[in-house]
Amino acid sequence: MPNVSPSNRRPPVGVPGRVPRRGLAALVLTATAVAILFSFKTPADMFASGPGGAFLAGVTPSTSTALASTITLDTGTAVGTGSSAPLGPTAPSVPPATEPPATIAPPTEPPASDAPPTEPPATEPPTPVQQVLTGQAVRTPYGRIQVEVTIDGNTIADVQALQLPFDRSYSARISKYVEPILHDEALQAQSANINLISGATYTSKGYAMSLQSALDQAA
Amino acid sequence: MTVSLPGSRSDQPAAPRVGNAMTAPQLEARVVRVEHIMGTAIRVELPDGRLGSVLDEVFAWFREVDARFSLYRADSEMSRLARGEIAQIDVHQDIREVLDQCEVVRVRSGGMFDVRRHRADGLLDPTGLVKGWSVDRAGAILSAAGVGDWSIDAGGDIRTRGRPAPGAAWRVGIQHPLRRDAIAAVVSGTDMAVATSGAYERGDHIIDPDGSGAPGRLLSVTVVGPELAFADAYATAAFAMGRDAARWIASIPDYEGGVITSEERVIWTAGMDRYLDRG
Repeated sequence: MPNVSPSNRRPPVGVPGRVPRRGLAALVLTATAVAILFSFKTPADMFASGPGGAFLAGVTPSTSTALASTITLDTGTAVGTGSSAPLGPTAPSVPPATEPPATIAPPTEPPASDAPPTEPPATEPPTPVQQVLTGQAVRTPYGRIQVEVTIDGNTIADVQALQLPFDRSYSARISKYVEPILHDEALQAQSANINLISGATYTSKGYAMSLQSALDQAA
Repeated sequence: MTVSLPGSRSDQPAAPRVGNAMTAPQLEARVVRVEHIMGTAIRVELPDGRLGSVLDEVFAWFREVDARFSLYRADSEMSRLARGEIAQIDVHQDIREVLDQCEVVRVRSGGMFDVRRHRADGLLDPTGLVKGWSVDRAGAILSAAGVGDWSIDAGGDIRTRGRPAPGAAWRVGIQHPLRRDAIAAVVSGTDMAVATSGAYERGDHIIDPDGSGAPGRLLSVTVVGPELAFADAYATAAFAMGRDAARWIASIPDYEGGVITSEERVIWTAGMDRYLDRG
């Protein structure tokens, strides 16, 4: 099997290892996709085991995204070594900011009927020079993701996104690089005029899974 | 691997892109390029793509940094220095510059940011500053090439310059620490660096140098200022400080920021007013 994985050194999180049997790979991918789907629906769960679990468990998708309060720390009193401004719950509160993100609605899933997962081609050349392989369509909270990978010899020549959430199915040439900042894109699509997101970059597990399912077809 | 997008995608959320007419004819096509380097996705955006060829140089720079600094590569200069095979005086000046900046942050943070204590094995690890520093230098490459408007996003740590569109400021959403599909605030400006550290990011990857356990009372820390090398390192150190983080950030000249507590409160430094977009 040619060495087509671009991430030998540091495999992306969530990418299943190379599974020689396609049937097993499909099962693993399906199971993982379901697991991810559920994990996305309950983002507060990962914090629920901590001391704040009871509080955080109340966070639901319908809850406003505005945080409880916004406090501006006064630099003058804060920097001094003597009396310092209270930072905790006793600090004065101001109403939540009325930013557009506060009204973000959960993304709606696109119709699942179009573009079913593509089956791997039945015939594969024994000594491929160039292969174009289509990955499975993977459902994510932001929509369906499906990629097509071109393998030239034993390297990935190109990855095309056939389906990306929010109709962002432009022809994304991301040769050799497998993790676009899909999370950022999803947030930008929902938010009012946000150019960028500072914080965690949740690399798209769905993207990686679809790519891996394509790579698993490589002879 | 360069993606040219018509118009401004953020103006029309969820609208189909294929076949869209240009909505900003006064600009050349916007150029966005994403590559996976240094273990993260690096995204560079030029609102005006006429000088887009400079991106080759920018990404070559990031690959050079990775080759020199990566601790995943046993033969990198940084790895050899960390193992004591070469002396600090003999390494490339870029490594010395980064270690000097690390030392500034270590002293200023009272040891909360320490290149020798962030790894379990105690090896020298300036990774917490290298990424931001390399973004600062990449920005200098862009500016030297005559690109007046750009943004660089290295795994959620951001530096911007100029404007994303005529008359507009860059608007940076701060990731909501509890909800993946939401942002907690918007920071806006033209020339700025924005770095956020949080426990939700790739697991609990920030090690508390005091060894007293993971910081439990902050969900995330954001630092805004002129340089990403320092903003990123300050955010890392501040997160490890816990409740004292906001006061400490307020004490740093030229840098502002805010923390999000486990009560879901945002505490901003007073100087953040000029960056905060409260709608």
